[in-house]
Amino acid sequence: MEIKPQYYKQNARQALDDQALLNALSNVQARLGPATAKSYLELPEGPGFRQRAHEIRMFAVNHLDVLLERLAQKIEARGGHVFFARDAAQARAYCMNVARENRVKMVVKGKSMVTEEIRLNNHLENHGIEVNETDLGEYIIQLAGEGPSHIIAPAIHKTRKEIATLFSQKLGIPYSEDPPTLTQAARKALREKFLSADMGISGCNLACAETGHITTLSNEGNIRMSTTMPKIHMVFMGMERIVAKLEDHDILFRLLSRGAAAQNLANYISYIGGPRTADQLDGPDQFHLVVVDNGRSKILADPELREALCCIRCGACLNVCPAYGKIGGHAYGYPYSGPIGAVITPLLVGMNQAKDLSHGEPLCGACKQACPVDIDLPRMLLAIRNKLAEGDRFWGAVPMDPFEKLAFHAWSVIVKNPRLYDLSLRFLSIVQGIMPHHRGMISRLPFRLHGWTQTRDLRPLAGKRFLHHARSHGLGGSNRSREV
Amino acid sequence: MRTHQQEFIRTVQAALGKRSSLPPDFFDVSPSNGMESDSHGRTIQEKTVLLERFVQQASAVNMGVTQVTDPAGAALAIRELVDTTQPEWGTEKSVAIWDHLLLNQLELEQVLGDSVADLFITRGPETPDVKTRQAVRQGIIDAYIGITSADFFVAQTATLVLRDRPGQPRAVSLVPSIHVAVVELDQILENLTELYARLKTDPLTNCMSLISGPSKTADIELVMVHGAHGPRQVHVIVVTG
Repeated sequence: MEIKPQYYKQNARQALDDQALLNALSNVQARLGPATAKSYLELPEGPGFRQRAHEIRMFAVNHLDVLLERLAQKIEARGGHVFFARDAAQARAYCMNVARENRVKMVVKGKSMVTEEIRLNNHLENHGIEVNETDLGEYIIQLAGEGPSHIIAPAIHKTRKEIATLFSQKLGIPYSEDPPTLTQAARKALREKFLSADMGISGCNLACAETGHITTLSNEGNIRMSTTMPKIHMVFMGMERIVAKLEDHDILFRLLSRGAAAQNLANYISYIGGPRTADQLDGPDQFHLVVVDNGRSKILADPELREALCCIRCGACLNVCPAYGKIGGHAYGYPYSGPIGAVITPLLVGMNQAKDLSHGEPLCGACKQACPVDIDLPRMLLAIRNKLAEGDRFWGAVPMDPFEKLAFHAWSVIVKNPRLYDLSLRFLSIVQGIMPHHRGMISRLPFRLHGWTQTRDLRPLAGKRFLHHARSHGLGGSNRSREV
Repeated sequence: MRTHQQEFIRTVQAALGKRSSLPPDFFDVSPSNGMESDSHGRTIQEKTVLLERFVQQASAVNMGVTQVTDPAGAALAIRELVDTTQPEWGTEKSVAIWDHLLLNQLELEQVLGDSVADLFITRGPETPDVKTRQAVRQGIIDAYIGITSADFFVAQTATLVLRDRPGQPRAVSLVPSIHVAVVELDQILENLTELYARLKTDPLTNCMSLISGPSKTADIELVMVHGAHGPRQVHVIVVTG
């Protein structure tokens, strides 16, 4: 199965036949979805908190230029390096240059979605550098040679049996399905890596412009290890992952922890603002921050979709989405899955290349309710569908289906003209006789319309129209229809 | 690099459709509205109430709390921990401890005596050289218990707040299998709002860690396991005075 958003439909269909996947997904959704909802209710500040968080994020997005410059200036003042990367290639090249200059042979990595997006691991490995993912879930999928299927729990599609087999093959440990035993095996294997790696790479949850720090959140402690033990620490940050003021973290980290795992607060929150100072005993000698655009400035430039940049990548929308719950993350064909993936993937990889993603989401609104920063995902999914239907020059979207557009145009002409409408009904009631029937229902519509009957039968038009019945019972009917 | 930054920022500004600006004193004003906190003027009774909340919340995240009245009591609690636990990786019981005013009062060298193979104090000169740093790193890696203090501890979320300072490396709370934090009741705060208000006037260093329990993961079928990569146990010893 090739992992690309253009294969969404066939990937989704395959996923639906995977019973183990369905079990895993329903386990995640049954546990995390309601737990997050409950944790919002328990907030001492009450339910309006998510709207306040939304305002904070929107403010930051609307002042990104000022905030990013402040962050860079503060970090450089502490001796850190800041690189602004226009695209994935620039970001990867910067990382590779630093690695080469310092003769880096081995890297340990904390989980970072933006490095998945820019395919950093591949690049480093192609240049002969050993890359070790250290988040347990990421470690599992790296050993299996797969991509993440969930923002927070990347290996959630894997059963403990699969992991047991994988670990016994790759780590040479006795077969065990016991999660503590498997975790201990990874702990042991990765401890050696942490202590011998030359470079640690992390993402950034939300930087703080005011104080000039990046932050990382984790439960495992792997990010602290990756950012403490190697002599170089490099951070990759999507350019929108920043807030203005330190106190903004109070609301956002509590909501992020709830959205991600229904926790009061993540186990570890680290603020890092530069390399080790001359008087300190540990910490990396070099600190590099890579701020990545890679298509984000285009999202910023579209007022209708700018809101997508408020996302703090907690995964809460995945845990409640009926579509994600049936097809899992891999079907989306990109590191970002679920409702947020269906919004940002088309914006990052191209509207038409990911044209089916927004149509797969049911617009039920559960994602908006689950979002810790109250992002209106259904509104943006509709906006993207609209751009795909009508075509959109800014996004380079070509109308998805000219036939469909033509059909709806014809329909709108017909329904506005009663004569034409009645005429078409008469015509259809004649031609429907030649279509295949099954138990009195039309089982297959002709031409492009057959999609409608692919999974259901269509009731044929009645021999006598409702208006005729109504009139024969003396129930009015407009004078215009009487002409017919 | 500069040109990259300028071009990048110009792209962002163009996308925003205007030169977005903030009031010139935006980052200079002290705590925002609603952040005024009375965390400085708490009575002992009020702090004790907060401590009860901390204990409750700590138990919810599997963090142990021991209350002692003086530093000697804290030292005895550590001695008990050493006597009842075993190293995870090696066979020798080695302990690493910050060079810290409160911790130095514990006189652990006497209390631990022969019960440990090594009591490694992370002390260094004003500008430690590579050799010193390498020795400190190894001392911490060899230790199975790491002892630190904390700048604050927060009741609502059971959070320890540690800032990096000379003689107080961040690895001590991270690499050993067991982390012990010795704090004084005075350092308790009610919630993160109070913490951030304090940090406005008592600023961050280049590294600050918030720790709310032992390392854990649920990446295998959402089954909770403690001790993923960080400490498997965290014990807070509160000196109530």
